[in-house]
Amino acid sequence: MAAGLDRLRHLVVLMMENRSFDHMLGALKATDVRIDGLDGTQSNKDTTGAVVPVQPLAEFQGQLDPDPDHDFAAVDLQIFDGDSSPNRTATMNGFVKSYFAQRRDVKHARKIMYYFTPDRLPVLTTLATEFAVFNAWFASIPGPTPCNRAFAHYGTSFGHVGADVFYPNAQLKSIYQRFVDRGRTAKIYYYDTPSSTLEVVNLLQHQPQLFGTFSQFLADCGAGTLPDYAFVEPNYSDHDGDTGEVLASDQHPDHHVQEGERFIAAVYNAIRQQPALWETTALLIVYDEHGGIFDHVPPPACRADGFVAQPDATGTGRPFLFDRLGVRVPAVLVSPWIERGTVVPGDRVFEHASIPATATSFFLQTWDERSPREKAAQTFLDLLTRGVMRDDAPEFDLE
Amino acid sequence: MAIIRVPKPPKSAYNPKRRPGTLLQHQLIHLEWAARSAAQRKPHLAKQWKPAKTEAEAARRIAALTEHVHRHAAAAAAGYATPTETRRPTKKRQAVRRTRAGRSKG
Repeated sequence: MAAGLDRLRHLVVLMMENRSFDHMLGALKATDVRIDGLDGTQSNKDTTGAVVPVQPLAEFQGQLDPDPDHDFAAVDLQIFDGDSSPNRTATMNGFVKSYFAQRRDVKHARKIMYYFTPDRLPVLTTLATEFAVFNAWFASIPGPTPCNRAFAHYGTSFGHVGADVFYPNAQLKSIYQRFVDRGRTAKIYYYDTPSSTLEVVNLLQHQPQLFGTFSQFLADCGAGTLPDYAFVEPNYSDHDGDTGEVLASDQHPDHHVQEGERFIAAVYNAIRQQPALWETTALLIVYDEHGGIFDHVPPPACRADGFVAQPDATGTGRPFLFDRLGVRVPAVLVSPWIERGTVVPGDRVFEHASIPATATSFFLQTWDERSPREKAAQTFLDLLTRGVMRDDAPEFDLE
Repeated sequence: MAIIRVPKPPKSAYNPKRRPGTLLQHQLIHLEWAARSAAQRKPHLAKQWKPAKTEAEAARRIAALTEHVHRHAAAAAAGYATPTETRRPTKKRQAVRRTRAGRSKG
């Protein structure tokens, strides 16, 4: 076993909200051609037929209002550009048309093609270039938040493609229950009580003992009591907190992207500043879905999940067999045992089912009752390849 | 490696009066569902909910519901009746009960 894996005791997953790979990290292609980002030639056509190229004009706030549609039917339009034929091809040409449908404003709809330059996102882009960035991590389904996050917790959404309340099938246990059953430790840390969790009906309702707050995460990092597996949720709303005004840190449009940068840095610092924890922890930063924002890589087909979403649920007039992934999202793996500048190639396809697949494989070794998608999912801890720990990891100063 | 400074967003970024997006509204639906007693968890009741008008309102309601779900689970684990099940009837409902009791006596 590689030295890093031999020392690994904790896996921490931070799941942010609603930004595509190209929007956040696409500009890195200019400094590293191995990164499958943007070179300025990618474009969509708007509703007048004019070509709309990608442009480095993304703003931290105030640009993507209304929130770009990312329900199943809207994402289908974004990926297939309105083609509903049986042998259709994913072209990624329908993003501007999809956004136009919300405000009927051609000029505003073009903003869906905007992306950030690396200097605007110093935390995410530094971690991506200093550690490992994934060229092909996709949302689990072409739909909204709750069903995509379900894949991170259960390895499946149990046939759901929307945001409705649902209960899991009892055979397929959450990653947290698997850990509990095997005598290991796992926790979900939500930011605070007014932000709470997005995993409400199944886990919070029935197993509130699995949850903690972000201040408890910081305390657990400091006290050396972090569980084997930790899932961290950002703050989902602007609200008054115990210490005054609390800004949303999830980066969901139209929340301020810089506050999300600060939150990512805070999670990283909490681990980085504890030598014993830094040596024994891998941190995955990943986004739940693309939020309707442009990405140029067509989502690939994948193993069917054994469920069928009916046409009334998909809103496309067609059923969905969970046999195609959603749009590509940013994903970065951080550990002092990863070589600087690791770029995970595009022929290794990951999705959110890779999270429970990896946690299960490493900490539990085996677990038979898992979804077909999770069983087929790639795992990522093989990226901890170094024989000697790095001592040059970046530090972030939160002003 | 050099220390990287991470700037704060401007004060103007804070807007608790922002209209909540569908994510927050769905989080509210899920929490209201989870806060109900088992007998009240009917699909048609899931549609009877009041959307939040601002993020601040959503946060207040989410905090209250989250605390309720935690209390409910703690009470259930301790073997006590849950807050939902022990809720006092409203004055209107008490009046209806008194009327019905009077009729049955008659």
